[in-house]
Amino acid sequence: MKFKELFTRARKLFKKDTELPPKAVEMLIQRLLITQDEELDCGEFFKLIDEYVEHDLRGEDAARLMPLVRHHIEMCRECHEEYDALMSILEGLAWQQIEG
Amino acid sequence: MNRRTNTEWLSALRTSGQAQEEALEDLGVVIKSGLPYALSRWLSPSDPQFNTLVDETTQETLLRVLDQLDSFEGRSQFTTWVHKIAIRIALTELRRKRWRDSSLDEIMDDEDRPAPQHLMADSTISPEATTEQTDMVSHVQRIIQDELTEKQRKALVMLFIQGISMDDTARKLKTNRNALYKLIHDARLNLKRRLALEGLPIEDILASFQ
Repeated sequence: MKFKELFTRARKLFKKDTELPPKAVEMLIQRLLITQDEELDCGEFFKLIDEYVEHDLRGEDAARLMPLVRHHIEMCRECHEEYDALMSILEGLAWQQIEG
Repeated sequence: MNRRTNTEWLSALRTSGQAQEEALEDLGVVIKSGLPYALSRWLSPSDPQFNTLVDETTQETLLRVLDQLDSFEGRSQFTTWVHKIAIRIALTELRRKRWRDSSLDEIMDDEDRPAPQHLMADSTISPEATTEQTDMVSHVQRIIQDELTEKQRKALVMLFIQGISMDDTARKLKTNRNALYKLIHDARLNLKRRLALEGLPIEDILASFQ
């Protein structure tokens, strides 16, 4: 076991740094176009997304009222999915009420 | 089922006994009626896992709602706040399952294992690219090596190339989703600052990849 640990450590010493493949470089550079000094992280976004979605559903300009939330939706794939999912639920339930 | 205002939900859930039980039961119905709209694009309702996921998510959401009741600030309908918690729980589980099923955990646990060759290839640079274009791409790659930490570069490979979710990438890097977002945001800001210092317009760099 000790030999294995030593071997792993020695190997790491000579290991090359991670290099970004061109595709990742391109994706990163594309995001620089919309990178802002101030951005919300996923936790800050999560606190506000219910309020944002309700603005949206009332037909208000949610993006103008809460621009940092809109920006995070564009930057973060997971939070975008969660925004879409919340919209689907509220729209689905609203339709259910109209039809029901 | 009783329709309740935000205040009524909060007061019923904060009591104990029958009023709380009824509120929890009603809230369970609210969650279960909403979740299928969110999950149908991820999982077919005929999938045997669908109902299990809805039931488990509902239970977990109710526990979390009770635990986090004091953090509800009344910025939205109480039920909208509950739906967003349910979504976070369900999608986190679905993403985790997706990667476990594709055995990616196994791949990522071996950090020396390279990404698939087709993803590492120089596919974004056409064979007809001018020397100027390839020089620009190499130059930007050198800047990235200088400006970004090893952890930032590792995170970007996992997110952009291997398509691993934020939660799983965070777990692999022994951090959390918020800190991971901040890590990548810092990387973008550093890179943007350095490119501006070098007088390299982002649009010109992107044109080199065409």
